[in-house]
Amino acid sequence: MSDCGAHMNCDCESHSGEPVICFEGVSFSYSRSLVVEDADFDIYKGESVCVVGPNGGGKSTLLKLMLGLLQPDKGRVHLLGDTPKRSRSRVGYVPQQIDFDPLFPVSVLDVVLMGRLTRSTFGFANGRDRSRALDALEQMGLADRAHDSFAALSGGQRQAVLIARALAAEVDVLLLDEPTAHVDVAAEERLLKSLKALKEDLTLVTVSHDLAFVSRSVPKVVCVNRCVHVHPTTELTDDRIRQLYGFEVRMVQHDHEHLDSHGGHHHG
Amino acid sequence: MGGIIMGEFFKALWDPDLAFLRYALFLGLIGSIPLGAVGTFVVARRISYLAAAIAHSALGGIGVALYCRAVFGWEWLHPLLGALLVALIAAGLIGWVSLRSRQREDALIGSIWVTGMAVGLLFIARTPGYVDPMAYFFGDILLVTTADLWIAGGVGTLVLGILAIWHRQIIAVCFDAEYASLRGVRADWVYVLLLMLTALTVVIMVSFVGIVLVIALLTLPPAIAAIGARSLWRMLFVAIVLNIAFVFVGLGLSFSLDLPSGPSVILIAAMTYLLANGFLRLFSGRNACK
Repeated sequence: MSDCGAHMNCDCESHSGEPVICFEGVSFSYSRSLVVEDADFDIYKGESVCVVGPNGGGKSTLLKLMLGLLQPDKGRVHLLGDTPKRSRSRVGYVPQQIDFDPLFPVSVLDVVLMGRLTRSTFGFANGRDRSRALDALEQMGLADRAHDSFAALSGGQRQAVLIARALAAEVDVLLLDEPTAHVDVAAEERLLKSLKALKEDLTLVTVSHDLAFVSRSVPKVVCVNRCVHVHPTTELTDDRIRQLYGFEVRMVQHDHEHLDSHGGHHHG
Repeated sequence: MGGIIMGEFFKALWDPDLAFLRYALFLGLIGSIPLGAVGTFVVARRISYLAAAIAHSALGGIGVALYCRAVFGWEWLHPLLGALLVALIAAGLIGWVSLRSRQREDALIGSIWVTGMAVGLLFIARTPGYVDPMAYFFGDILLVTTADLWIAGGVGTLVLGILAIWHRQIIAVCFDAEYASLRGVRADWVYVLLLMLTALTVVIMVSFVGIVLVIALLTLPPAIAAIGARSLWRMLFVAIVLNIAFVFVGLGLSFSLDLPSGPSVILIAAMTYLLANGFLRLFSGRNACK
């Protein structure tokens, strides 16, 4: 029997059309350990949504379920009106980290060109592929590093290249798993703003560990700690955060030099 | 000294009585290109152990082909064709084991390796007449015929053609298989394709360096080329150039000093690899001290 209580689907805003991502009673477990229980929520076109929750709470699992990299034990996931497997070529994914061999000799441009791959890609990259890949690198401020070795970049720059790889695919949905774990919160916020500026109807789902960032940057939050609850960010109260993390969480206000508004980090 | 040795070699290449030397050189040069290209992916993906298992298991095909030619009179079954068939089967099996087996993968792959060799040795033992298995282990340029050149040319062209068509998928799967599959690439199939290309490539050079030594020529030049390489393309190009150089110099030395050709080529490749690593350590050590 589920002890997740009532789900708070964010139908508080009126949406026209079909949801881009739709979870219908989805449960998933690794071996016998239940990681996601009875998740029921929708994400609509053009929305920016943040997934938050404690470590091991199921945030990355939720993204992998959206992509069809994991199959639910129960329930169904729809992505862009079809199964995740069929639709995922229209989805960009930036993993938290990749299992990268530091001795693998690949140039930055070659990594970004991987975003242009499809099942029917044959032969060498064409001019359009190259120009789209270079544009994506330009957007991430790394155009001058296109021909450098990927291994020679810093952690933050590598992450930016992985984002460029996702952007090069010209996708409708972008899933980012702690996209800027190697950089500060201000950079994370700048990144999301610039991503939305690139394409207004882009649906953006970001996993973030920083609650203050969430409160400033996105209107809707998916709280995951085995159970999944969706709230408008304005309803993300201290009480709800305490329930989510299972212990007292204090919002500490910080001033960020480059930010327009004040924010804070979560501290246990 | 080196100039005199290579001078003798160049002169011998024009000698009408030494056609075998020209055949050996042609085979070495033809094989260098797919070896350097496929070896680059094998080294980058760190699957040299799997490549060695595929190469060794090819002996099974050589043994069966020699037996069938002698016993059933199947002259059309060239030992290289037998090696190709068995190496492709081994590549498929090894790919399946390494993708699906989560336990004792190394033991399973090792068993495919030795089973192929055992089958080959048993068939060679039962083949009427004298067959020296050492020629297939370490190569013998006297075995090289025009049929070898045609097979090498055909198989090499096929390998390079497949690489030209699917290289982006192969690079993506070697670098980040999960992301490649998200882009619609069948990562498992592409991985098995790489192993199949490895099987095709190692068989080309069996007559030249043998199934034991061919792994050195597949992996050492790309490993040297990887030092300081900023992209796979640069590594691939340098690996091919190194392969050609090793074949040329090794064959020249083996002819002039009357040494076996396979080990001569491999020893030069191995010494270059060790020297390159030595210089790398020396210079990186100096830079670290600055």
